[in-house]
Amino acid sequence: MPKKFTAAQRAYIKKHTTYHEPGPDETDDELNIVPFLDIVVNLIMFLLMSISSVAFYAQVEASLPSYSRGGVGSRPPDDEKPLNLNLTVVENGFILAGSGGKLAPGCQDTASGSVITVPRTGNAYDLPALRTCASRVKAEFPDEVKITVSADPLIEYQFLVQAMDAVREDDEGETLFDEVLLSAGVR
Amino acid sequence: MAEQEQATAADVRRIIRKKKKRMPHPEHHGLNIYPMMDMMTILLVFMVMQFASSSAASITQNEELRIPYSTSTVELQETTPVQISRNAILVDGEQVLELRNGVVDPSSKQGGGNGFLITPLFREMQRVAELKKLIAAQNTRRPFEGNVQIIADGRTPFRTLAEVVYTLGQSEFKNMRFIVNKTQNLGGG
Repeated sequence: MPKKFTAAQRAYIKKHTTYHEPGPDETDDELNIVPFLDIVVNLIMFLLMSISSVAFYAQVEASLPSYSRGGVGSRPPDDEKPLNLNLTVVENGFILAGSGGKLAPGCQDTASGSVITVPRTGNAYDLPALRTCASRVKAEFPDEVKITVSADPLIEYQFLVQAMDAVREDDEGETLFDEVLLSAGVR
Repeated sequence: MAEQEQATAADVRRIIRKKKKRMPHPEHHGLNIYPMMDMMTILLVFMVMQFASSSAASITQNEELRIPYSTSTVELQETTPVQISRNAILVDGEQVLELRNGVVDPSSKQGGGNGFLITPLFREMQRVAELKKLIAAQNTRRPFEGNVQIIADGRTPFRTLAEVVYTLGQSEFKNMRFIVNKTQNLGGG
C-alpha cells in the first residue's frame, strides 16, 4: 500500500534520484586525443606514400676509366693480357670489342671493318642477343668483370642503361660484367 | 477507505534505492585506443627517421625528368645528386645550367661546341668537392670518395651525359651512381 510522503521527503527523494546527464568534459577524465590521432594517421599515410615511391629506385654504378689503377675498377694485375672488353651503343645496334678486335655477329670470332656485333631488330635493340653474346665472352674469360661502355653522341641514355643491364648478369642471375667504366665514346 | 500511512525514513531510503536501480549506469564507453596510439607513434617516428635519411625522396618525376628503367637491385646510397632533366642541370637541387632539349649550350662549355668541360657545372662541383674534403678532414668516418648520384632523364643524349661525366671526373668525382627505376624485365618496363 502506497505511503504518504511529505513535501520534504519528496524533495529529498527527487534530489537523490534525478539522473544527471554528464557533459562532454565529464564523461572521461582523460584528454580527448581523437583529433591528434587524425593528424597522426594522416601523417603516416603521407609518409608511407612518399617512402613507397623511394622503394622503386635503384642505382647502377659506373666509374671513369683511370690511368692509374684505383677506384671502383681496381683489380690486381693479371699475368694474362687483359680482355679490355668494350661495348659501344650505336644507332644500328651494339658493338662488342675486345683487345683482339671487334666481335662479329654470332660472337664466335672477330671481324674487321664496320661490323655491328648485335644488330638492331626492327625498331628495338636486341637486348637478349647482347646478353647471350656477353655470356659467351664470359665463358671464354671467366675472371673478367670489367667492361667499358660507350655510345654515339645521339644515343639516348636509357638505351645505355638497358645495355648495361644486359651485360651485368645473365638470365640465371650469374654476374657477367658488372664493373662498368664509362668512356666518352670516340670511335 | 483507510487513510494513507505516513512514510518513514526507511521508506524514503527504500524508494531512493529502487529508483537508483532503474537509473542508467554511467558506464565506461569508448574503445581503449592507447595501444593503437603507442603503435602509431612508433610508426610515425620510424617513418620520419627513414624519410629524413633518404634524400632520394626529393626526386619527382615529370615530363622533364623521366628516369629510365633498369634491372639493377643495388640500393640507393646517399651522395651529392646531379640531376639532368630536359631543360636544366641541377646540383643538390640548385640549378646551375640551362639545357635545350637535353643539349648543353656551346657557350657554357670550354672550347665551344666540341668542348667537353661544362664550365658552370665544373665550378659548382669543385665547390662541392672542396666542401666534402673539408668535412673529410674533420671527420675520418666520412672520407671523400668522389661519389656522385646522377639522376638523368632517359632521353638525354649520350653526348650530354659524356660531357657531364667528363666534367664530374675533372672535379674529382669518379664514382657515378645512376639512379634508375626498378623493373624486372630487361629493356625497361
